[in-house]
Amino acid sequence: MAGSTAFGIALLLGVASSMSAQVKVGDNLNMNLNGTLSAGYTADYGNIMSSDHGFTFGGDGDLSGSYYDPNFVSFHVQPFYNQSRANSSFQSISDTSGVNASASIFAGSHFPGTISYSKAYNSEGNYAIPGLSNFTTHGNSDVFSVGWGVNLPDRPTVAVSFQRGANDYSIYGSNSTSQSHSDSFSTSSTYMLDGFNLNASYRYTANDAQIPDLIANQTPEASNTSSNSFTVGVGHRLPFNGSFSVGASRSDTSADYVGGSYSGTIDSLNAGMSFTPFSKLSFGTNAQYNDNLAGTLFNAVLSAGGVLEQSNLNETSHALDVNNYANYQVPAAHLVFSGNVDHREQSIFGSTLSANSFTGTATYSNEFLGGFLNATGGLVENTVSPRSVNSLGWISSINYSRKVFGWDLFGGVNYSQNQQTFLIAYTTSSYGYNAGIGRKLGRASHWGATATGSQTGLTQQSGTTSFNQSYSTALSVKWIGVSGAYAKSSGNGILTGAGVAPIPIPVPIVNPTSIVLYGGHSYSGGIGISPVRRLTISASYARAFSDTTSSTLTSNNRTQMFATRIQYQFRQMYFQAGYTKLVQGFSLAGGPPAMIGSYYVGVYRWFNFF
Amino acid sequence: MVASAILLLFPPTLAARRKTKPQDDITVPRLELEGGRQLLYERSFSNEREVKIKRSFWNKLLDVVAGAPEYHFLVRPYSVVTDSHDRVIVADPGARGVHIFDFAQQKYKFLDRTGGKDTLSAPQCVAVDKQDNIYVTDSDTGKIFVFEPGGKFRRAIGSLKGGEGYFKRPTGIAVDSDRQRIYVTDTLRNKIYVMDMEGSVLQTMGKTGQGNLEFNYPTELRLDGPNLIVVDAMNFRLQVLDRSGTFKYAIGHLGDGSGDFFRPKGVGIDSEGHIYVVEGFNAEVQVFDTQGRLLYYFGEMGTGPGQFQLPTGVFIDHNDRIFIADSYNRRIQVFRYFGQKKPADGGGQ
Repeated sequence: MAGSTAFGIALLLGVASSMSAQVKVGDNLNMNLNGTLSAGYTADYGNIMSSDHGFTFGGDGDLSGSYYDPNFVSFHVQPFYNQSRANSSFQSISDTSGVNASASIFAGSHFPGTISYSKAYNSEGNYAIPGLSNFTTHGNSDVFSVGWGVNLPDRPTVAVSFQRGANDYSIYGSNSTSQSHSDSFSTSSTYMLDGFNLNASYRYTANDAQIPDLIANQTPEASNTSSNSFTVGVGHRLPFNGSFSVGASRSDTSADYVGGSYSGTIDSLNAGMSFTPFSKLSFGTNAQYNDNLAGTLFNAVLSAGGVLEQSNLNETSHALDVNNYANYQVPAAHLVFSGNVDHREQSIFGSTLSANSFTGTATYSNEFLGGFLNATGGLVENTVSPRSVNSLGWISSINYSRKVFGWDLFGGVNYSQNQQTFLIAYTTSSYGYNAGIGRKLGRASHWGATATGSQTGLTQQSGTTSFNQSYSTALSVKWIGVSGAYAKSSGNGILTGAGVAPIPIPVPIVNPTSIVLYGGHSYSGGIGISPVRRLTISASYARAFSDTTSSTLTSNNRTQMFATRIQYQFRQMYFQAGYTKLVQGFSLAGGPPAMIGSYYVGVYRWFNFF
Repeated sequence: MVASAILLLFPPTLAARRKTKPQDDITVPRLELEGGRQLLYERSFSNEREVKIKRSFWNKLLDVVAGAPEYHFLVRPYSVVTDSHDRVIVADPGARGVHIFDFAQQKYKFLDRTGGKDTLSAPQCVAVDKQDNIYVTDSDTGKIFVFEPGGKFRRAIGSLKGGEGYFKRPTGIAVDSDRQRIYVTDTLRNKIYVMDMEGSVLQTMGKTGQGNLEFNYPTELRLDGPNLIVVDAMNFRLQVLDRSGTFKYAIGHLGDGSGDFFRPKGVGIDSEGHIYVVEGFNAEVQVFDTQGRLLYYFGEMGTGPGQFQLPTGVFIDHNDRIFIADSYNRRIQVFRYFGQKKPADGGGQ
């Protein structure tokens, strides 16, 4: 142990004494290197690992440079060893190591290129529940990407890029793991020909992912998808400050997942034009036709990271959407009027529907009673046939801010009813609010508090509501800062690799077995103190409770994290000590929650090597 | 590096031609003027490290182990002055403080005030009295901060109840120790305030306008014998007053040619009474005689010795050393003028 200490000190001094200016290798290679080296004592304990302690070393570096000229070749390499920025800054519960590297080639020419690579081992990550504190994960990841472009004057531009990535992680407190791999290739081109702006692109993506199902206790979902998409388009300027554009796209998607597969092609056409004949008036129209609405629904879920287990996705479906709009400003009255006429036709799941919507809104923005007021109100009329369903919708929002006797106040509410969703068979209603108050207390102190909340759901479908509210406050008095927050949320979601995500399409379309109901609350607090210059002491605590219910099972989940750190800077040395404790568990995983604690005492030194 | 920083003049009295003097591999500007006069570039400095040249063994060891200290450096130097001990005092609104460089004693001090009632926010111009007390105008808070020679804060002139400042935008400042007067320019009020040493206003000079003793954004001040020289910035001229506020004469007019003013900044006087005016836009210093005739000018846009980027203040000490705040280059450049009675004894340091 003593030998390790001596080695560490010798290493620090040896590196320090070798400091020099920027390095030039040969006539053309210039490089700069700076970074940190750390040494310290750390101890870990917990119920999912064997306790250990000992001296440890870490560091990071930042090597940058160029060959011949930064516009010819420039590069950036950032290796790091035994780092974790999430908690105690160094040697916390996840000792991350890895490297980030990138290079820019011929950046100053007509043929610029970039190449980058990053890899991280044992890095901390998050697994999300909407509106609440995240669960903690740890895992590995790597990403490689390369891109090239051609930008010749008066010639079509070309851009080509390729990216390959992989990621795997496990969640503390469960045996669940997730793995994913992705490849993507894209190329695009633009060209201006006689005033016509031509563009075309191609993109290929392939993903395979295993989604952890720790809160449903089922076999982990797995999917393997690939898609090819092509787009072409043309645009041109029109009189009266106008423009038009037309485009077409084709997307082929195939997916395999546990219990099924999907293969489909989506063709879409779009066209639009807009005019601004006067600065106060603008209007235009847009139209889009899609020959595979069901496939579009599937892709929306896929893009959110989920898997949609639906049996009728291969049925014939299509959608047409024509939107006409106009905006008119009345600056003297601080008013803006907007109007929309929308016609939509959708054929899906064996039924054909069409809808006409007429929307009119007025917005007022001006100083009012010593503050500033922004208010919007409007009506929406929806007519859906052949069901002959007429509904009258409403849009309203009002926000006001003002300073009263030194208090900064703001508040706002919004309410909407019967707004059409992605599918015209459904409408949503929602409300939200936000409020805040703040005040400067003396010369170096400030207090503030905010509250926000919202609720939304399908108007005619019970059980689709999502709800969240949060409150926070912060007080700073000279060299002390204190903050606290409370959040509460509930709703419907789908499982993804990054956690539970809000459902991107109307709930009834999603197979009930894929839906996870979530609800919970979390609170957190923190304090930071800097009693003397260069000395900082901080502590934070966060705790979250949530219940998640799949089609058959309910899991009670909780996570709590406590971290404290003290740091003192002397010149380019930073003495620090920290303690971090994580407790995280899922009732469906069985067994007690995972508990990990970590202490650290050490020093790190910043170097400008050359 | 070719130092073309010092440009030639085409003067009615002092003909000049440029020479360069090699120093290692750096060529420093040197201007030879009529009658054996010379103007030499001496050096530039930008941070605390350049003051503390000699360091003990233990300090060097500590540097190796813990790294070099965090040296203060010039951020946006605006005004410069020297005191009776040849300390160079620099007002730096970018650093929100005042730097004191004592090259003789190899000491450095940084004056700032934060957090209290009288916070130094934007130190603009600086002056010293006979006792080396330091007077700093703060264009942001509207006050004048007074520090003792050692750097201890003494008082804030113009500090009203509630922390507000009496002045709207104080900039130029000059101290007449013999008559116990402080002269301060309030740029937004287009006035010069004359106060006693306690800060009581005794007199104001000027009003808004373009005539004699009328100002349009006056900035720097300089006392020269019986005269008070005012940079009348947006009238593009200097106004020379006597110390009681009577107009004597003016120099300069708007233009972008030699001898014209476009963005006049600092003003200084050498031992022969020549008036040095920093022209911020052209990055040069124009030198006039007391009749307002252009004698010569030096400087150009750049980052090398004798080159400037947004130069602002100028001060000439009793040894005719010319200190120029090279604001955007974050440094003070030092030149030396050798008049007819002071033959040059060498080049730059």
